[in-house]
Amino acid sequence: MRGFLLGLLGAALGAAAVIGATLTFDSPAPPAAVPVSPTFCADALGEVAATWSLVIAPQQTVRGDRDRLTSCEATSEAGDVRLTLTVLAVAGEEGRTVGERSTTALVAACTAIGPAPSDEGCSGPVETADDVVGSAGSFVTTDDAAVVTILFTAPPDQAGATSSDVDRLTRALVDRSVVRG
Amino acid sequence: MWDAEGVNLFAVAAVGVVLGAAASGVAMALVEERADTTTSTAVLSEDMSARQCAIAVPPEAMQTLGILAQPGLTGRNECEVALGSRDILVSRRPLLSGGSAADLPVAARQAFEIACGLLADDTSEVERSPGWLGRGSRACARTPADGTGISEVVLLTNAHSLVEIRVLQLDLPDVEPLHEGLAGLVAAAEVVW
Repeated sequence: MRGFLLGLLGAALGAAAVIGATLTFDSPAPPAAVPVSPTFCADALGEVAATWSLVIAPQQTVRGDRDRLTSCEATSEAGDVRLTLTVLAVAGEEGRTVGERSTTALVAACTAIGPAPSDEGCSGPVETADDVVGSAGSFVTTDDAAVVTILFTAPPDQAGATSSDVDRLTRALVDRSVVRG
Repeated sequence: MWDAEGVNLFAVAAVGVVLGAAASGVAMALVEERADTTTSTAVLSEDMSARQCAIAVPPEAMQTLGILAQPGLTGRNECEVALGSRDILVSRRPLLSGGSAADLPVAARQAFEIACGLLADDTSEVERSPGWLGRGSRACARTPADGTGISEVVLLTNAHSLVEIRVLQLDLPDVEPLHEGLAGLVAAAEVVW
């Protein structure tokens, strides 16, 4: 009887030790994505907005468990010129690095925009059935931790000029230090 | 120092520790595996069912839009009501697969912002959260100024689903019934997704 009770006590101690160790050491808090500057939208879009006479809407942020999305929008008074910029900051997770997660997000963004992604990202015109109405692009920042997507649309007679601004924004924002808060 | 009975009792206790640790280790592994499966599948998009299709296009909205017919699945994960050259299409866009369910709101918002950013046309009005859709809906819409042609609404539901609604209508007298019908479709989509 004494042996049985000691065996039970031993089993309980062993189970408690394993469960305690698992909860303490095996479930660390998930790493959060690197935050974006609170003035990011104004800083990033200021020059282009001034050129096109666009009004920049307040910066918006959505936080998930680890990822966070910052979105910016600038529109003309008439609403016919619109510049949208999103920064999806991702964090790694068990079994998937930050780079793998950002690549997945880039493929999703490029699929939505249209052009097939390369290692550098994707870019191309925004088209309706009859006209080119803007330019769009998506890329991963140099530290692999964020996917930036730029969408710039305008009436067909002005849409051709959007591609150079999308290229300029891409060059300016691909360095993550520009985006980081 | 140790008699035989003491050694036996120590051995029994030691075996108990080992068995308990092994059993709890297996149990914890199973629990974690189940939790991982739950979070991963939660982010995957499910195919639209016939029942969801029937609810997503209510008769009142069809009547207002002048396209009253039986809704059906197209086979491309879309719900369609077609009447001659007039058409209603409701689809739920796929979101990022994998990852944690807790990051679904971020993935959904990202997809929503891109979809809205791509809504552009040379002949239609593009609006963010238009008043005619009612309060509380996070949506963007592109509607022809005279109510005739292709309309498109992208909706981010409260449950973080991204729904696209397209209507081709050539016979409406003005934009009001179009707005009313689209608002009915948005309200139905909020219920379904």
